[in-house]
Amino acid sequence: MAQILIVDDSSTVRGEVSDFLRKNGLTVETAVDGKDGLAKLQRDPQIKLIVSDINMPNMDGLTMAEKVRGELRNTTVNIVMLTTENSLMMKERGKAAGIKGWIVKPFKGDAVLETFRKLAGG
Amino acid sequence: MTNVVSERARSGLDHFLAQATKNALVATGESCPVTPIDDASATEREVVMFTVSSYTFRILLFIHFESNAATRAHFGRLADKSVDEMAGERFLDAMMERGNLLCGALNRELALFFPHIGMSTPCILHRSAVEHIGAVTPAFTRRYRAQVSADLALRLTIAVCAFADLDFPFDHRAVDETKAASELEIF
Repeated sequence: MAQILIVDDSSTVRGEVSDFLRKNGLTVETAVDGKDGLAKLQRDPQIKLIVSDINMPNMDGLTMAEKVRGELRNTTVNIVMLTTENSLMMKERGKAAGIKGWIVKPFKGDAVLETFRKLAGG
Repeated sequence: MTNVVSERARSGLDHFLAQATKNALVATGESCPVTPIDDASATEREVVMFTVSSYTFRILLFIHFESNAATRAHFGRLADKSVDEMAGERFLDAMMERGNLLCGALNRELALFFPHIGMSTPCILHRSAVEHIGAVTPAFTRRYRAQVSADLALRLTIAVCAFADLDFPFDHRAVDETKAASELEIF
């Protein structure tokens, strides 16, 4: 069972973010794209926070967020986007899908750790 | 009819690319001179390719690289990994992610002028693919040398396919934009 799900098609990002969070006592699962993210969330509904990239093959992060709220009817998991995108249009789409926050890459763990802890209920 | 990429748009692309390269391919605070070059002969074996597209243009961005010790050591330092750890698929993924940061920065700058814009995911290609740039008839092509460390210079190429004349009022915004990166914006 994991508190946080990291969704990114880059193994570099998955490794960097999950290593940092695990070093700081959080439990982490990873997924390679939005489709994998949905499957992992369905298998482990205890996940409290999803940190997701947007531009990924098979299913992008915003579509995944919409399906988390829609098809999976999960209205409680917190979703934060970790992405190179910063457009107003994408943020509005994310907000409509009920995402909690937005980080423009690169990931700097120290700046977000305490907020991630709160969002992950840890 | 050939569409035109204006001089100020070219200057803007030069500036955005230099800033994006500095923010993505070297550690914070390190210098990374990026200079246009005329040499079209690329000896590096591979490229990471991205595209940034809007309704009126498509930019192809290539980062040329070799999977050699100097390159792996540099990207290993950025990822806090040793040169031995930075090998094979791990190295290629690290190249793609650093390129993703670079292209993302370029995409964000252009989005200020072109709201309907998007970027691709990265693609690793053999250098021979770049020889076919002419097939997409770019209106503008420029090559750059980025000195990412004392031991390593990387070559970058951009090719702009313009479906209409391309112009935008470039005004050095790239410096301010970097301050927003890495902060968590809560909704």
